Amino acid sequence: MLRSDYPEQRTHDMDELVCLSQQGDRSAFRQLYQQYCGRVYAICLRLLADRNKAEDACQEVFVKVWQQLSLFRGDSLFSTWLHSIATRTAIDLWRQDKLLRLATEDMPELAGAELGQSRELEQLILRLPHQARAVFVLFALEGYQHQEIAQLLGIAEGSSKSQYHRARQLLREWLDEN
Amino acid sequence: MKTEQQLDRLIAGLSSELTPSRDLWPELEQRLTDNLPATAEAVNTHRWLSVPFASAYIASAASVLLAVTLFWQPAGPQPVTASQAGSVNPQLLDAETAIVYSFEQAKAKQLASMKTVDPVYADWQQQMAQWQQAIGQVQLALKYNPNEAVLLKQLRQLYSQQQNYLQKVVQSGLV
Repeated sequence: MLRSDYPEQRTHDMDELVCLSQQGDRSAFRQLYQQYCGRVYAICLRLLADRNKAEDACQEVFVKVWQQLSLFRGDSLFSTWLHSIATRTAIDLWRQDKLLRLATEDMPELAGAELGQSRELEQLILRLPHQARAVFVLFALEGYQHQEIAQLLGIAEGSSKSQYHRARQLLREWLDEN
Repeated sequence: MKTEQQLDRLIAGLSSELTPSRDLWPELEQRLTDNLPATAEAVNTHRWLSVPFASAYIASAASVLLAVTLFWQPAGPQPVTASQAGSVNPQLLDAETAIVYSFEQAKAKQLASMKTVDPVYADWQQQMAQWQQAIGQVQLALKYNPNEAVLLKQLRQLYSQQQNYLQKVVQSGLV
């Protein structure tokens, strides 16, 4: 699963929807939202590990996209541009969350519909420690390199690598327990 | 312990998309109304909207607003009541309506999917009624403070807790 892994087969239709949305057409923007909501929500939920926060973050991403649509020139795929906004927004909220999160907070119990078939692993990813989870999601699921992750999260590249290995180790242990 | 390869296989099987538990569009649409898109021209040509200039404009606007507030006399003798204040600003009420609409829709779907209920959740209707009562109180407060961010957040949280509980009740009957 990589950054460019958005479904964008019908590029022509997408271009048209983007163009109409840039002109303020809300029904076209709704179609863009429907197309990409699942992908954006997945990034937000995996990074924030909280359903409410992920839903708020998902809305925040699309509000930003709506506001900044006029700046999208088509130099890259719309999906790539959207992904970049989604990741940065989720990381900003992840950073705030890092400061606010209480140690006593419960992990979310996620509904089956949200998780598809990989319920167990999804649930365990949400249990990972804050930083290890972010590194794991960005590297293993979003296709970022450690150098990029280090810049995005404001940590050393070596920390990114060690947090990734820690996350894998924990996941392997937990999968064995269950 | 699972091997690295086994873990890699599981990771590769994760879906790239997850579905939110409720429809986010009604609330999002409301937020779009409040946040109109910037035009490219405005972004590129209005460089004068820099922080120092913007601060000066805000200060001027604030002083005009202050003057109007101090010297303006209402035309009619009737003071505006809390309920009237709510009714004159329907856009502010829409945020609340959007939250209620999306959660109630999701709740209706959950209730429709309910088959049997595990005896552990025998009192689920009373539990739901308690949440509903709390939701009603927040809605009452919102009538007097429309669009109050804290109250809206509280409303969302109560609905979300109720939804999570109902999800557990529904799942208990599917096991």
